[in-house]
Amino acid sequence: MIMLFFLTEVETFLNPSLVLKFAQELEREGDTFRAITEYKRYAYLVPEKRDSIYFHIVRLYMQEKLYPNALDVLMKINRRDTVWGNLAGYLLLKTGNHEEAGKYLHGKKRALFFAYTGKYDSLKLIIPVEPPELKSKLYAAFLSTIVPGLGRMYAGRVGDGIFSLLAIFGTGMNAYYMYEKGNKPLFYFNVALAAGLYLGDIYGSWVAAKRENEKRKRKFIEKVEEEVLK
Amino acid sequence: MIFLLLSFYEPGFEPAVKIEKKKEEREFNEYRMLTLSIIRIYQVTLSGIMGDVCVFEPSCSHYGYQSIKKYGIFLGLLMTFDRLERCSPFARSYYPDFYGMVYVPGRGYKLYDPPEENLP
Repeated sequence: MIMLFFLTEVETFLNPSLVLKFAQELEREGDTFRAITEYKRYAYLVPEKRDSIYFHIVRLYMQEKLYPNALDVLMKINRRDTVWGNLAGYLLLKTGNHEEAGKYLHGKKRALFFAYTGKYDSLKLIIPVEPPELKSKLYAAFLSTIVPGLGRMYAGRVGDGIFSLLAIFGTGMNAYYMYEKGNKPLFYFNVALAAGLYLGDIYGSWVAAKRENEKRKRKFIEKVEEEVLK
Repeated sequence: MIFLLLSFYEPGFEPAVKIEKKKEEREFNEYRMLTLSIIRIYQVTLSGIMGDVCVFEPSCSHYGYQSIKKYGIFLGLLMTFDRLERCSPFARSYYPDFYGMVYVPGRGYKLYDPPEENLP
């Protein structure tokens, strides 16, 4: 019975227009992954529309932020023009192949390559944007060497800076108190703890400045992307 | 003592092909072992008494253990002290710019901050 049903209904299952309609319906409902499967089925049934359908699948994968999958599908497209090149370059940037992306991006989209690789002078020639103001890691560490916690504050983490200052000052004071009391073991323990916290604070300031720079670069890239892709 | 020794045991299958380890990995570092033992002793004694006070995942002691084990005594200790200074009520104000949020069963929502993200 089941076999008979499939044999009679096989034309309905493999009807390209129905498959496409079903895929569009799934996409409209937000069931992206099943929609992609149906679009692939449609591309298989109608090979002449394969490229345009694959472009649409790439767009769906990009919506879901699945850039490696989008790149895989894009590489299967036979069309090799500027649109394809820009899309390939953008996806290569998103998947971390920055140098490779430079070969594909053209025109205004090339600004993305310069933004990702930190070539701000070249970027300025394409889009008039101010490059991000980056914090000096060395300066942050130097500030923490002079006043504990100041490097973290410079890197934008005021709360952490205050807490570090209090922690180091507290252990230092405790060490002094123990020394006055003549408690040698606790004096050495507190001195070691204060020294560790002091060095940790210098290291932390360096890392805080590094992570702040990463955040600023990320936001700058988002801004450039908005500008380029609008 | 047996518990302490067992805590260093990491279960796993023996590899079919034995890979030659690097020289520094082969060497037994007594200072590293001592520091890791102190952290383990803290975890089985004081940590239980103090309860869940850390705002991060992995918690400060686990972070210290992992960083010392992975990056050696010097860098590991620096990273641990840095983390101890960051583990404060202010930490939550840096979400989501610097830390992600994860749900840890039994501990609730914690800020995700693995050692790999705090390398120089």
